[in-house]
Amino acid sequence: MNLAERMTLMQWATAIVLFAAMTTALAGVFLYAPNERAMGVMQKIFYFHVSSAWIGFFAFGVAFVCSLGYLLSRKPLWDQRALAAAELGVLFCTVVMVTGPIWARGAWGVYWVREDLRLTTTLVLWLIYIAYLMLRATIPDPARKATVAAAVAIMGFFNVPIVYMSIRWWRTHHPAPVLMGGENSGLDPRMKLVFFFCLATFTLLFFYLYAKRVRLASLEREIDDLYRQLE
Amino acid sequence: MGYLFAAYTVFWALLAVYLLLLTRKTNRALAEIERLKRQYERNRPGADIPDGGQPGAH
Repeated sequence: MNLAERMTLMQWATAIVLFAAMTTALAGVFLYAPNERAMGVMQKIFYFHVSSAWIGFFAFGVAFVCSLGYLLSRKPLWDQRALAAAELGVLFCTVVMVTGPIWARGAWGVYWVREDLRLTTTLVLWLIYIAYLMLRATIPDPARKATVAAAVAIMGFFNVPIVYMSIRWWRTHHPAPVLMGGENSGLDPRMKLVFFFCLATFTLLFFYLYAKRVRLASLEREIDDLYRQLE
Repeated sequence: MGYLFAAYTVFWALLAVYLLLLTRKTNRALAEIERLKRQYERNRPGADIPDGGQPGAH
């Protein structure tokens, strides 16, 4: 069995494990985790909303590290990895940006509270990485594109700790942290178990998609090289 | 309940669209690489092209 066949087999194995994990996560959310006392069944948005947010932050962290790697080594592989991570960060952040307002509408009666700093900082983070992807599409020279994109990814990442700390630094409409949030915070043990299972599943999902996206980026690079050889 | 299902539907829809786009782009890129490689082989100096490479010429 050659390397390509082994990779395909591994991808299929990961996909099957991922499917099983996703099904278990959904069963955990809807059948095992208890309903929250104040919000009832609607609180179950929490499991995918918060997991998406954490994986989004993680993806932006990967983009940050890979962008640093590119600036230090100038190897295109780092740029491809940074692009893949940033794109997935935007995907997971989009999930947060859509599920959050749906939850807010049910809980607060409005989709968006303008003065809420958690919401605003998350929106800014999302827009920075959308700008990162748009910027890449506008610069034709590969080396210049990678350098400028790396700078944006590095600067954009400094917003992540601000988003994370916003509900600790400022009192907002957004609920206070229930994990690592202090003395009066916490989750029911069954809720905690389901949440961490969801988080593990989302981490697996991230790496599955990441491998696929890095492969696409390297194929696109190969196409560019072939065009250059044909010129 | 409606909000809960709306949120989960959005998640699955976004994931499905992203996976679909990723698969389509990958397949298109693979096809493009094959095409460019064939073109490169034809254009390579000293390439063995019988009768000028015209299909059905020999």
